[in-house]
Amino acid sequence: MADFESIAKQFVEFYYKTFDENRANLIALYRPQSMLSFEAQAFQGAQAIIEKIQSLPFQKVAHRVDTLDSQPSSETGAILVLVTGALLVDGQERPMSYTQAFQLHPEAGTYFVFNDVFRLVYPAA
Amino acid sequence: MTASAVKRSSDNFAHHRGGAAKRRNLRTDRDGDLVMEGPKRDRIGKGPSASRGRGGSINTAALQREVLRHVGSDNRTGGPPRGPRPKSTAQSSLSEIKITGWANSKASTSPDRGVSSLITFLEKHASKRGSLFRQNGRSPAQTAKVRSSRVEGDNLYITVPSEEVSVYAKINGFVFAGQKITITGDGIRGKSPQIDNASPEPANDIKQIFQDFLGRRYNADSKLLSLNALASDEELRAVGIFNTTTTQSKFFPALMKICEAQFQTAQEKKDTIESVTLAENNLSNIAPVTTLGQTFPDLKNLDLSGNKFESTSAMIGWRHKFRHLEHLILSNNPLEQSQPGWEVEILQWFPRLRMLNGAQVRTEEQVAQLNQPKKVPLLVRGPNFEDDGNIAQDFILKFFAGFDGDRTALANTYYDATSTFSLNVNTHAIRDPTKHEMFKKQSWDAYIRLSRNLKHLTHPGPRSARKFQGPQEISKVWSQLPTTQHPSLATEFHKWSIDCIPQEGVPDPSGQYPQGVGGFLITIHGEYNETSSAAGAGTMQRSFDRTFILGPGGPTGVRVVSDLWTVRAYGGFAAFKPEEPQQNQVVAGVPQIAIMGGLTPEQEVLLAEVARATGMNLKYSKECLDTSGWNLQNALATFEAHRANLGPEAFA
Repeated sequence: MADFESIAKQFVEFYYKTFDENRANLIALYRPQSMLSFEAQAFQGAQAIIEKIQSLPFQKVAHRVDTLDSQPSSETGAILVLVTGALLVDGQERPMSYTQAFQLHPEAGTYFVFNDVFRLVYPAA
Repeated sequence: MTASAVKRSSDNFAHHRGGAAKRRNLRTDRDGDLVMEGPKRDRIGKGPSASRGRGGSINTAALQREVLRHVGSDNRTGGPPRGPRPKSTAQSSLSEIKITGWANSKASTSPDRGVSSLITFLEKHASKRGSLFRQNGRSPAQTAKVRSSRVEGDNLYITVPSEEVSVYAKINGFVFAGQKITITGDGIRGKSPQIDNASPEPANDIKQIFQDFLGRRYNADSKLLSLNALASDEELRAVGIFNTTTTQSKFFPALMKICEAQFQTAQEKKDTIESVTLAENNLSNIAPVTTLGQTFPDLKNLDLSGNKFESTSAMIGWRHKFRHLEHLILSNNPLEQSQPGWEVEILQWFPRLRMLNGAQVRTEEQVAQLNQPKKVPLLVRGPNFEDDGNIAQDFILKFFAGFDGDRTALANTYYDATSTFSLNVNTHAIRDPTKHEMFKKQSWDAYIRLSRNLKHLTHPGPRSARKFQGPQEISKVWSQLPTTQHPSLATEFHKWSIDCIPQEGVPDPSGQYPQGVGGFLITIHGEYNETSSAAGAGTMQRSFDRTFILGPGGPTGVRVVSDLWTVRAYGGFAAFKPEEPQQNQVVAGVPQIAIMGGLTPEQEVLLAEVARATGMNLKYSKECLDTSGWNLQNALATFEAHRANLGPEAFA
């Protein structure tokens, strides 16, 4: 199995690429026990999470990952991933800063998102 | 060159002048001023440097000549016009100009009294100045060449192509071999030598006319420059500015240039002229006056009423110009009838416009919001904090106090042999434009060599070396980082954003539960000041994001499993502000009615429910809900947990 840093990096690249291209496809990364905290609104379950993600009030979005770090976080091989970056939506001139923390849980040789904590840390000006 | 070869009689040329002026009306000269007569294009997309470039300069030079022909000769010399005049075509005419002041130069000891070096000097400098007349794809001006010369006493007369006279004018007052030389002749004004900047200035007499005009049209009290009904201005009419379309189209840019020259700084200009009216000018579009946008970008009030604009496209060149325009008047323009909805477009063009045709279109608050960071399109809410028994809250309070105070003790308290810590620096983070930190140089020296940004750090060696495990390693790394002061969690909570989510499967150090135990995932966003750094003194404000996994274990019963820390440039806390007002902290002794203040209807229902179910008074019920994240079940659980410790005051 690849080391957890590589898994984290692969995951982050895949996650934002999917998010920016067709965010409905992110549903494959969540499970019924997954939780999303989006600006402190909590959603549980893949369906509720993907509904929230799809309902976000923008059409086009582009994420730029600035930093990415990860650490193993459980006995069972979970990985904690912390991402900071910028995101640009629709016609906005200036990006917003965000951070997103993921807790990835292993499942049959692959990983799913157990926790997803998203927060804007600097709004668009 | 013999002195007498091309000696010409002034009179031979003087009487040709009127005819020459007429015939030259729409001809080009070597300066190519008529290039400017091509289709007018507005200058969207060109920066200010482009707008003040050669085009504008030549415009002015051309205007100068055009207007001079109308104004008459150089009256200030008093006597009859002297020197040769242009012949019927510009290309073939020659002019004589006089150079004085060179007789005592250092070169005067040479056999020809330095005349040949003086001529070389003149040609050289005139050629350099001549290059300024190159423009828009036309071939560069030829090297200035003195056609002939003669010396009379201490005067040197040189004959040059008439169209090059203006470049000699530009070197008037230059120092030749230690002596300041004076150049006079037809078309050369008494120019003071220090005004030798890169672009030709309008001649002084035209300048004077324009300056007088500006003086008459400026009202210092209202900071208003009135350029109303220009064509009916008696004094401008008297000098024939509006007699031809050529002079008319050149008038405004030249006027703007003279305006511009009155001010030392942009601030001075901004403070002096806040309003301009261009009403009643018969304008069908802004092309003739478009330079207003470059000269007065900070204008607050603009009156364009009584013109002939049929649609907003007539003013498209000013779209997104005048970024501080507060009041615009467009009344009595055809567009009011011919373009329904024109107001909407205008509002989009000028984001700080408050008044349109005298009616309020935006409030001060709406405009003020433009200067605030926007919180669109994502809705920002208060923190999500699920914390059984205040374990996480207690940890957070102690953690940041310890991190600011005694990091070694902190590491030994909350970190054990399996705890991991890593740090990374986001050097791309957006800075808060409202803070002076924005402009500070961001030095990351103290952090960057420890930064574990997996996006860039691809080799396993450094990846592993920058992950620190166990209290010794971790406290050692912490000791190398700048000391910090975080804002108070009690009194400055608005500067923090903290989420806490219960976690299952957190590693159990006792090994009792191989499937892991319950813990927390805590994400914290905030800021701190550096109180010292290895680099030296100086307080730096930073923002940070820090994520912890907490589990049971360690001396306090709580240990850090993972600690991930991102440091970035200061970005403020505007993003953390909840959209909805948060419940106020309960202060002891506050009347019960005040407790209800600031609550949402849902919270009032919850409060009533808790008070009913527990029998506690509103104050204690609210405190209970506050600590339970306004979750009814949690609040009831909290009540049960603390019930034994509650005194009678809780139920009073």
